[in-house]
Amino acid sequence: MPTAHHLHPLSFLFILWSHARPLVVPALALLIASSSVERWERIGTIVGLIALAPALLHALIVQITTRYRLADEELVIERGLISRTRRHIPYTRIHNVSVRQTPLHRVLGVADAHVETAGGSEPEAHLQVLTLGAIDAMKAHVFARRREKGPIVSEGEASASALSTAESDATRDEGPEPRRLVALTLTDVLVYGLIQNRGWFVIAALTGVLWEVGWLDTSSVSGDTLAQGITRLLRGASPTDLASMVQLLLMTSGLVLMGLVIVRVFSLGWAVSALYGFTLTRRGDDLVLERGLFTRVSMVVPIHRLQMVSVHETPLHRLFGQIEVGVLTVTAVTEQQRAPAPRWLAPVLPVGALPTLLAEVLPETAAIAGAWQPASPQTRVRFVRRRLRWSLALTVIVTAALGFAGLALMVLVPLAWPIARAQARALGVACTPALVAGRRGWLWRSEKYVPIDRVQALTLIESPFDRRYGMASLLVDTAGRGEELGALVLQYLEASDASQLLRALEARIAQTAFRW
Amino acid sequence: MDSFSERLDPQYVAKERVAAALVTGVLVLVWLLGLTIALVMGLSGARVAQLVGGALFVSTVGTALWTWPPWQWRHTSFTIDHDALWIRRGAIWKRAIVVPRSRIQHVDISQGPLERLYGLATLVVYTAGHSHARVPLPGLALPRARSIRDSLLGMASDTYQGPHVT
Repeated sequence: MPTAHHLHPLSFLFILWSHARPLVVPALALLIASSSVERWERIGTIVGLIALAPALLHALIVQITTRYRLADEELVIERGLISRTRRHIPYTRIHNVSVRQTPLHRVLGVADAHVETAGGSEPEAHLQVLTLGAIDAMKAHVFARRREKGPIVSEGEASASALSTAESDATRDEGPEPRRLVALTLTDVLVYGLIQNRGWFVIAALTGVLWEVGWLDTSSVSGDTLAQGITRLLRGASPTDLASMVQLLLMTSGLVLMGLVIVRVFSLGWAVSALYGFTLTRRGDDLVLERGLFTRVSMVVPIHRLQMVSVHETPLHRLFGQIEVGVLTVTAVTEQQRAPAPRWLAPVLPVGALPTLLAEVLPETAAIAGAWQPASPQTRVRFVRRRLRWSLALTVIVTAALGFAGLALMVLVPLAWPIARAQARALGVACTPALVAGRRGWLWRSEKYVPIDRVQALTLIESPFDRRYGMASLLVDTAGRGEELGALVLQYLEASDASQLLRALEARIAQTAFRW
Repeated sequence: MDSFSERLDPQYVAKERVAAALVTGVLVLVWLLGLTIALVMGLSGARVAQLVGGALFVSTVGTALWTWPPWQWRHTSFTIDHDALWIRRGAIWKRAIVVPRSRIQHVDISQGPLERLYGLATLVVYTAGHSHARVPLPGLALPRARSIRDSLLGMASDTYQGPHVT
């Protein structure tokens, strides 16, 4: 009988904190509001403490009664005082042990551990909190056992594609020796921060606040608000106004410039705090991902749980010779909280390193290079017409507002052809026996790869616009929540091609088994 | 896509029309209530205009609800073959949905009160997918829904002899 382990002695503090966290802001507001009357303040404190008592009791009970055991075949977790529950989690079904550390956790040398099991909605075990040593021991035990047993092989999978057996053979030969696939330096993280635009969120919020407070009201300077000034400028200013107009313009451009700089600074800050020390390591059939400066996040994801890999490249990425490699996986989702899911295989990666990374995590991509098929030949015509409609509409609106100067926008018209051509050329679809992939974008490029055995369902969509050009789209549905990356949608296919692709894919999917 | 051989049960149109009539009935009642209030309060130009607008709205919605079911019936078809369930639906935005048998997690049959009245059922197929986590197929006769379920589940469980290789 293996020994039973307990939670860390200070666990109750963290459990209490997770109960109290949603109440902190209202409680503070209440305290501040009531602080003017001393008596009220005292009552408020007492009420707050009484409200916390049940939470504290619960935290202590969880702390005292929770026990876990690393048995031969399974992880056994027991908890509860009056109604005791015992959960058995076979090692073969454990897909991910993710670890989360806030700065407070790090001071005390402990962490939150989520044990995720197969089945998207099945509740995972949440051990709050354990020492890092205990977590490492647990991880080592679980994954060592799992490698011995091998993952569950469902019926029918034994005869699944030869490719996946070849893959597991290869990994077996190399043994469980971990291999570092991606490791970002501070410079890399800063480059990511420069390329990404996460600072906009912060800026938008700040602008809203400043607007409310009235700091953006420039009427004190020029006798005009910014908006009024711009409207007047657009309507054609009289010469007497010119001085104030110049002043206004300078101020506006100054503000915009300052905004851009601030955005980048915030973006850098976000990147450093979230991505500092980002590493991706392959250990047997698992990927281990770690990141974060203050809150350290560590996740283990079996490679076969990757549902989609995407590669993004913006003009800024090209400037730095980098790309972003995103990933979609399935994680357990409970009612309370969503277990952290990895969003990247590499937030930034030198273009040259992509084939090596893909060869490790998605070896099926090797065969894709020669398989790209173009979109429907009608795409260019469709894009040209759409672009022409937009530039005409814009011209008409601006001309109506500003007079004939707006006709200058007609220069956009001849651009429609080369841009449409470039965009249409950038579209592509690839389908190999093991993989379906799509690519799009001329300046903002993206490629998405989905292994066939992970496709859940297919939809062929013909919109009225599609029908006018004899086109159709194909939606390739996979497990996992796709808000970040979006599903793989193959658009602008020739209708007959799309229909053939649907049948070919369906036949291939039917021959593979899905494995959680 | 000529191979979508099977249609929904014709009773589906009748059932949907009953539902449409119920909705329209509620709208008419609301309109009559408005008419009563207007008559009690005294008619004026603005009130008459409102009543006429309301009548137009109710009749448009009623007509749309009444004509939609046969239209929907005509544009929905499905088939089950050795590998998959295929559903085609939509008149304006046409969709063909394929759910391979090997990806079906489970299958439900549900029957609402109106559906029970007409002996109809809705077959719901669940996958592990995101946008197709739940694929409903309404308007089947109950015995047909059962036979489809049995066929889909039979292949997915113990009688499943492994993937079909052509």
